[in-house]
Amino acid sequence: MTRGRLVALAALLAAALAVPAGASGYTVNILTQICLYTFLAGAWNVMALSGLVSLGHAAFFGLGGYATAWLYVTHGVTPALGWIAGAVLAGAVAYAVYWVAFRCGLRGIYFGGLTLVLAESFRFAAINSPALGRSQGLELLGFHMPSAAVYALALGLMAGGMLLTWWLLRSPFGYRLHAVRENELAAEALGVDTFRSKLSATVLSAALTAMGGTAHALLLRFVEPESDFGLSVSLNLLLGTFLGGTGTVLGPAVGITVLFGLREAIALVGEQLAVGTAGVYALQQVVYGLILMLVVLLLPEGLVRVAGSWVRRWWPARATHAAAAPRTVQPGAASGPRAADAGSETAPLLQVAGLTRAFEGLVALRDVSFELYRGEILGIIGPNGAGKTTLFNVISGIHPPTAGSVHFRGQSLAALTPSQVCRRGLARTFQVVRPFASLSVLDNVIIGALVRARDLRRARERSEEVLDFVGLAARRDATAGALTIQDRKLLEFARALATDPEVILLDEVMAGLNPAEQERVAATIRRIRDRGITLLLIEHVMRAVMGLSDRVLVLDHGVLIAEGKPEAIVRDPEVIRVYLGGSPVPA
Amino acid sequence: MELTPAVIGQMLVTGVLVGSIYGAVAMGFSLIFGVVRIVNFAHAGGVVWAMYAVFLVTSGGVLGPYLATALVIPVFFGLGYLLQRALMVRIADMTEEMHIVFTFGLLLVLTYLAQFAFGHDVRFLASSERHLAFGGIVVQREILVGGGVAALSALGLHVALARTWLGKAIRASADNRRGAVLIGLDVRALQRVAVAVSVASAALAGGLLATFTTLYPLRAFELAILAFLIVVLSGIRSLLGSFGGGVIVGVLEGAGTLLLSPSLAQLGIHALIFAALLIRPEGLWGRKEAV
Repeated sequence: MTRGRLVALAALLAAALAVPAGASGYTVNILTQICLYTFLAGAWNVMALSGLVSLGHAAFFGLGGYATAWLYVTHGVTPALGWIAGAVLAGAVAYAVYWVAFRCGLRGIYFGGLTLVLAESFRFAAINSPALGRSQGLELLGFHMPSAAVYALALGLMAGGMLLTWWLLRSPFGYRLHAVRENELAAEALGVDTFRSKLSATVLSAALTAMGGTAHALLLRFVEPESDFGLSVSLNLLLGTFLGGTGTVLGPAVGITVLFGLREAIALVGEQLAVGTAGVYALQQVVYGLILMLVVLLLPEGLVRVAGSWVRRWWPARATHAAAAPRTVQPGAASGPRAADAGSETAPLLQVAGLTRAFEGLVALRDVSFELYRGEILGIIGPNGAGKTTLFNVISGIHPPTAGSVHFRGQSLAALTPSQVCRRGLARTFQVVRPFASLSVLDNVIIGALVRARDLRRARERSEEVLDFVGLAARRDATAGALTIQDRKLLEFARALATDPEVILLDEVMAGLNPAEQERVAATIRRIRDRGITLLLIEHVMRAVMGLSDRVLVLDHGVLIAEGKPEAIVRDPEVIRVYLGGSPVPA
Repeated sequence: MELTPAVIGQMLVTGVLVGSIYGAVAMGFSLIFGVVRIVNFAHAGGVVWAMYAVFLVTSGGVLGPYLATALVIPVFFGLGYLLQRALMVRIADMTEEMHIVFTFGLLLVLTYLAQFAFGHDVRFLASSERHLAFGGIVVQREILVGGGVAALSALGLHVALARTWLGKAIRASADNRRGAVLIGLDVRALQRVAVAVSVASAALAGGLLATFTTLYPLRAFELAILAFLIVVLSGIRSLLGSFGGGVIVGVLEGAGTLLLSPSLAQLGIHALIFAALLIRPEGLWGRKEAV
């Protein structure tokens, strides 16, 4: 942020703080609610950054309010402490619940169901608890805070929350969350500890929500099961964020402001029509529902992003930046000449011994053993269903082996998650490419580079270098989802390379490419090897495997049936029988 | 209350019967998910509107509740067909989160439109005051009929899906959409029929519920949460599983109400579902049974 912008923001805040001096109690009350709900929607948004949709954030909202109220009513603890206690409690509950949920692999509607049932359990617990005043709730008798002070608190929370989101979106943590949201498996394979990322986002989001819950209790001076743990709290947060735009800084503010504006407008109209307060409330909810449906149908990206694209259309100059500046980077400069080591070591870099993997009854890999030496290109061929991709999935930690072991640089990879395997220096690409489709090409690579780089600046430099190396520098600002198949394959290379690996597992990178494109990819593979990186590649395209590989392994029905130099493999009668069906090898 | 065998028996029988209706609600919910892959929270909104329709027709003195239900079902079938044709098909390709937001929006609209139109008073139909007694167990006639009809129609739906050509076609298009298109099935038409059947089942469940329970707009929220949790508990892909989940929840609710209090029973049910989800993340019946 520039100094000018900071000054402008500070001025804006000061002006906002001065509002209560000249405004009616009604205005201050509405503004307080807008600030507070913007903060809360922002807290919900933190969790949504990782792609998780919570239907039960009321659980944490209520915990904050109830913790503060209970401490105040029973022990006379000042709400300032209750505020912290509530946040800590909510964070702890979120940690415990979501730790188990993520470990159990709860996803989709089952995850949504869990969040909902959590809030409902708390609601019924509050209703049944005499200490919490059952369905009457607790009243903060004798507590008084001037409305201007509550407003200032809410305003401060909102400003802090927006700053936090702004910072998050630009931090390595924010990049990782975005990767998790786009494609969890690909993120994990690029060294992102998805479990920890999701858990951190969730705990942070819960603690912030509890803070908002406390502020809400201070505003109303009571807590009550329905208004604190009820579905409508969760719904408001979801509604505001979706309307404004998930994953944006301004989205919650815009969404909540529009909702509250509408709410007041309907109240006015309802007064004219004399439908009574209950009627007004019902109408408001109907309109909220319609908005939700319309947002999904017409602007699923949210208001902020739509407005942003309008702005860019009218002021195109703002969108361009220093992207066009030419750079001169020596390919391979960062990794150094490791190629010289090739073959000079006798200990294998990767050692697979007796590897077996069964899926219930089906044995996909049976007693597979081989070694990969530093600096070589080892090709693996085999008919469909031979177990090639399963082999990669076991080595890279996606599936645990049923029996046998994988050692990398002498250390066992057993029980490591894919992200840990990646951090050890073993990267992979996927047969079906998995770009983070809505991120730019450069940001895709940055996710990989963050495995080694300590900060974003270094990660960006590293990524630009890698993009130059694979020949994607010109496309670096394009959205990954808009790339051609060939460029997507190159992007897979670039992401894997950015993690600075010693070994890359390439899963059918030639599939779906025409011969000219295959040649370009093959050249890239050779250049990667020349950088000193060892390659294990699965391939269907015979010409490419035979031309590239130093050695070739042949898998059939999960069993290793041949191993040797390419020239020897193409003459092996067993290989010809199972793989080539007796026809001659295309030269 | 003393826990004599008769009391416990009565609790179990009533729990199973009421649970059968919950099961029917949950089944409609899973049917839509199975075929269109949309989590339809608005399903319970349909149930409550059917309850109001049956209530209004019946209390107008025109027809009895069962005839009224029979009348409402085809109307809802048509509405379901339109729902899929006009709205659901537009969101089919979006993410699950978008589906949740959309159908939650529809649920809000349906619930509060009911509140706006009918007010939030609690209403109920006069009971027939007829009870059936056997072996010390006394069951209200409406509950017996309601539970019995719900169980029979759940079974009927299951058999129809398993045995008839239409049912098999619907299952095929749920199982593998592209494959179904390739063998010449009109998947879009099948989806419309499936959603129509689902909404019609909401009408049936609503009509049956209206005969013996209280009615108020926010009932839609309670039923939505209940159906969602039953389905999540039993694994959303399984229709009979959802029915079974409904029966389990019905019995738990009865037992909890008898032994503790209605709100403690709810707490217990939620805690149990919470635990069940963590132990069986794909639902109690897992993925074994397809639609």
